[in-house]
Amino acid sequence: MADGAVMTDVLAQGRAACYKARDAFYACLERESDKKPTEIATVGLLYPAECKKSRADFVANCRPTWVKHFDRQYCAKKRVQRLLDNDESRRGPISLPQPYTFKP
Amino acid sequence: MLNSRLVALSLRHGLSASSWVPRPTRSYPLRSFVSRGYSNGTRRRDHNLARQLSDDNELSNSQSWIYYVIPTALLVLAGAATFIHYNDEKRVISQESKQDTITARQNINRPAIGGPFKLYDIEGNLVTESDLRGNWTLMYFGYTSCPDVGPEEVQKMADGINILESKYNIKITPIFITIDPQRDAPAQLKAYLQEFDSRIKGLTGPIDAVRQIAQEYRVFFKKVDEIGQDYLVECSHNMYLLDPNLDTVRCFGVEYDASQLSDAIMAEVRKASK
Repeated sequence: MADGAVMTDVLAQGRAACYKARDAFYACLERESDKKPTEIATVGLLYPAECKKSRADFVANCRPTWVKHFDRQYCAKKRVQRLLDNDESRRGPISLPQPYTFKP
Repeated sequence: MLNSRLVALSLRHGLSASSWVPRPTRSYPLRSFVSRGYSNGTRRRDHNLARQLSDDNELSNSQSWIYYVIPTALLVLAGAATFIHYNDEKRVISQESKQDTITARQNINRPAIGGPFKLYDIEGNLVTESDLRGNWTLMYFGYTSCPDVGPEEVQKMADGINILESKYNIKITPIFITIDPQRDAPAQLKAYLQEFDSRIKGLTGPIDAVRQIAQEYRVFFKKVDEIGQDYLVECSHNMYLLDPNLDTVRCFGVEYDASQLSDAIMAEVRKASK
């Protein structure tokens, strides 16, 4: 990075814009959680097509590494919430149907 | 002992005698028993005499023993008493020596953190550890491209020094040392830090110098999430409080907020000035 060239996207204004876009996107994700998530975000995160616009806004306002970082953070938070969930069926590890059980 | 031998002898002879009894034609073993018995009797008498003699000896011996035992016992007692007394004296901890040991222990138990460095500030002036001497310093290692924790920590540092100045009237030098010198040029640092507080000194330098100070202060840093030219740096977000002698007094993690941080710093300053 050359001297004098200041990266403005990490300064206060850039950060604020990024945080705003990020919060808007995750709010949309919560709001549209009953829709089928079809679009692919960065770290295995899926989101419904209704949030495409806010996602584009998020990606445009934040650095790609930041987007990835926030997506990862969101997934980790969701995972923890899943473990703390009151709904018994959704808590704990997912029980997958066993493909074959041996019966004599 | 002699009695038992006697019994054993008679027993053996008794046994042999009984086994030989059914053949009375042989009189030899029986005769030997008689002769042995007789000789034993004489030896027993000899022994009695010897015992009498030894009893006399013991009587005179025990009387002379007392002359040795009493002074020895007295000496041992006196020695034990003095030993216990000196031991107690040695174990008594006087007030000033207690203070000394506490300060000494604090110096000994301090982790080996910190060391000399040679970095450049945002104006391009050389800054070494001797420039920090004489002032309390709050040191933070970070980078300007940090998405969330970095700005929060710098904000906390700015708030903390404001609280310290307004509430406790004490000045502390805040320092931001970049661990990403490839991207954090002096101009970038200046633009970044003046948004928080212009008193925060930004330090950068050649990669080797930054790596050296990061290792001296046990700061973890690792380049992660590379996307093209862009990357994040995973690092330990710790703040170090350095006293005027450049000793690392405390280290604050992200769990402190600004007021807790300033209170903890003030407590350390008070402790040091006592």
